[in-house]
Amino acid sequence: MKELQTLVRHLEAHLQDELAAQERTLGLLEAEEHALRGRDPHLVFERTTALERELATGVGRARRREELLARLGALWRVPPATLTLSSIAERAGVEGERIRRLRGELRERVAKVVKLARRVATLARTHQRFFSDVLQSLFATIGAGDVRQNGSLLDAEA
Amino acid sequence: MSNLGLNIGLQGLLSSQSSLDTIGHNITNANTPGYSRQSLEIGTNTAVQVRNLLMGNGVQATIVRRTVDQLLNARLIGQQSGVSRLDARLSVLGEAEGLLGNTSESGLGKAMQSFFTALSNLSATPEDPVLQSGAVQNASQLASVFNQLATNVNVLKDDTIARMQAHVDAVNELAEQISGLNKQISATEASGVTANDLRDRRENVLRELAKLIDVKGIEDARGAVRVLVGGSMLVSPTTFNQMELATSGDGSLEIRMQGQTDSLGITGGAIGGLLQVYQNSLPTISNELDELAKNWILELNRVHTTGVGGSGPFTSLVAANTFSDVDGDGVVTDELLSNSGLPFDVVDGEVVVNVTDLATGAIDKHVLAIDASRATVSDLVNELNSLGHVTATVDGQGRLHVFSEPGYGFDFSARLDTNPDAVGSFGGGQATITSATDGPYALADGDTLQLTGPAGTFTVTFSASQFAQIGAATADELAAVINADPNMQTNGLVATVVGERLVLQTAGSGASESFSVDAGSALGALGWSAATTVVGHDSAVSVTIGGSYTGSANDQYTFVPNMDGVVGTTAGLKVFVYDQSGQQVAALDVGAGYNPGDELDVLNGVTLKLGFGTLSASDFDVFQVDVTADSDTSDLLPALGLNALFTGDDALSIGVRNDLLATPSLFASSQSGAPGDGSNLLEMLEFDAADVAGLGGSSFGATWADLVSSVGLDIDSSRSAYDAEEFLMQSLDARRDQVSGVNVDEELVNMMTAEQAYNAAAQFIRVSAELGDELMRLL
Repeated sequence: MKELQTLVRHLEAHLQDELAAQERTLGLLEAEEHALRGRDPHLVFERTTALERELATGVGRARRREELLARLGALWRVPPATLTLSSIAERAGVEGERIRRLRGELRERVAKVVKLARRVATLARTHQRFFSDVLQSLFATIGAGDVRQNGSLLDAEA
Repeated sequence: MSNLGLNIGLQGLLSSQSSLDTIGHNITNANTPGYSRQSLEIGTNTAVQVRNLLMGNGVQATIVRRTVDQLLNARLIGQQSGVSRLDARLSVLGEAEGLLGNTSESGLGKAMQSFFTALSNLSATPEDPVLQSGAVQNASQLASVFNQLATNVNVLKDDTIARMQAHVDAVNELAEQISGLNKQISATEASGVTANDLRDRRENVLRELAKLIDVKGIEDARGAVRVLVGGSMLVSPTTFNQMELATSGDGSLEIRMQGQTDSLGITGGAIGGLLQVYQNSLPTISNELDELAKNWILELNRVHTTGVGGSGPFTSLVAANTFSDVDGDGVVTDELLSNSGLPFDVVDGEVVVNVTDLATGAIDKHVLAIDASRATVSDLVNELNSLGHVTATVDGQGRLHVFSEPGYGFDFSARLDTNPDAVGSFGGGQATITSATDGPYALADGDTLQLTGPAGTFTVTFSASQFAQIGAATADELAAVINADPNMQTNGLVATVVGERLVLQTAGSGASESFSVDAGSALGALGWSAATTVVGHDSAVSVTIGGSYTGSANDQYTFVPNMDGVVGTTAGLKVFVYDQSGQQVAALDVGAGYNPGDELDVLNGVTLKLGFGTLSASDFDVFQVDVTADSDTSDLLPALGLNALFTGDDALSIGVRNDLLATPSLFASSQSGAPGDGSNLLEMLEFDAADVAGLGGSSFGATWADLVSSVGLDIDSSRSAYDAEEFLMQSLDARRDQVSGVNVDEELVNMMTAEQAYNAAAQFIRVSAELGDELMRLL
């Protein structure tokens, strides 16, 4: 019983971390969207790098999450892959009440992140296609081919 | 809320689209002259209030801005004006150099040399008709080259005017364009946007304008530019003026605004350059060419007019130049010689007119004093008519005609009178006595001269009424008064004049001829002694003058014996020679040891031969010879073009006298008229290298070379200035390109960078979404 309480507390802490991470991701995505609309490639690079760093922190959290799920599965003698936050909260009974609440908050937060990420990704992809099309058009006009493919230097004024 | 999000995304995309459009516009116009790089400025959209929240509203493109440096552009316009001025100047001067620097067969330098070569050839055999014709043809060829050069310069002047007119038309067209662009820019920018491309176009047109004239552009608050030319408004914000090429009061060209009278004083641009060349350089070339031709005509004619052709003295001459009715009273003969419309100045001086008896060769040399500022054309005609055997008239065109009586000829040469003692006052066969000194003589009213001849004694009485001024009676007056006494003829006596001396002699010759000067109050004035008997001689002394006078000034040599004696016999017998000032300049031994008939050098190229006979110092034997360095010190002959080689007075009008072209034997090769005499040719040949006062002490050849090289130097200095100005303009252009030009590489790199950034962003965001999806599965 004491082990369950310990594992639930650790899971609660992890969910708190995840909530904070999603909040940061949300902020970074908004900043990225702003940079994309500002058309400043350097700012876009900067924001993308920040987002990349944030995403990298998710690897550690995922490992921690898998470890907690493995220990809970062993405790309840079920495969860890079958566990979800709602089944964990239900199995934990009273101890799982906070997990249930955190799950609701996290679900809402992740949904926001996913929604914003899809929109911003679409925006970035659209911008990228604009530039790509123009570049292709210009290269075709001056007969230089796609420098991105062949890596040759271009003297466009020649 | 979802609509707002969509709107934000759309505006973002539109902003990107605008940015791409701007980059594409830049790249497309990378090679468009005068294009200024444009950039899109992005700003945050105004926030939108949704319920109680102030929601961000994305971005929008606020303005497309030209990247320009107005000060740099203004300097470029000014610099363009300077470069174009020098370019236009170089263009015209280059053409001028081309036509002047012609060293081919038809060049002026070559033509001068050919002319002098022809004269040199002719000088060896002056009577050779082929060489005479060659000399005349070369003179004609030279005149044609002068004519062609003058015509070419005039054509170049006309071309320059045509170019200026074309440029003025272009200026007016450009002014209209700027005015139109002003209106378009003002209208466009009134709505709050910047008319970048229109401004670039206007900048280009302004620069085109600066190529033609020096302009100043000032932009007003509404974006319209005022264009000032020489302080006058060419283009205002609402309208424009037109320029015109006009002729000013003094005949010079000027550029002014239509409807105005003041010159704009344009100095820059192609028009400024052309105007400067037209008003300064070309007239200088033209003037120097004319001056060269004028001096050529004058100097060669100075020699030719005083020469004699192979056919000897003239029987008829017509002046090439005409007198004009300067005072406008309908009569030309009342004009003063100094202001009678002749192309060359007539100054105070003398003209020698030799009247030759063609049968005997005897020359009657007359020296006409020319008082140019007092004597009229009529006075000149009268003086010529008074010479005897010569008649002068002025025809209806104002041309002087001179012709001689049959049997006589005339010329204006400096030739010596080879038989200066026609009177026989120097050892002649007649009984002769000459006054001891030159007149005038100080006689008094009632003075007498008592003479005794074969018919008896008689007395000539001198009355004041017979003289202009008896106290200064001239030899001519005295001779006339004495000859008027009938006793003179009765006694076979004649009074005549040698120089300014009175000569009394018998009409007949021989030792039997005699008369005596007995007495009279006039003896003292004449230097005679009372009771002097004069006897003739059976053998008269022949006097022959030869050679050519080489002295530098006109003079008169007086020859007198130092004693009574026989030529070639009497020891110590000499002939003293005095110049006009009375200075003895030679003493010739003609006594014992002198072989009568031998030639004696007198002075300055003049020689003397004396025949056998008796000379008498007691009877004041004397003869005089006029030696002439310049037979026309007044320039009357070249001014009239009488016996001229060249006609005209400038490069365009120079030609060869028509009758010379028809009859080359009229070419005045000689100064004496003697066969083989090419002395006049030699004098003309001196101009091959001689310094000419009218050309500032330079020779014809050197003056021509200077003219050609001065144009070359002008071109060199202009080219140096052009190179410097062009270099500066290129530097300014480079700076403008740095500021306003499009660097296509940079634009493409920017685009590729952006494309990569968006690509990377899209990928990471997609990862972010995938991680979220994975997390959702756990939830």
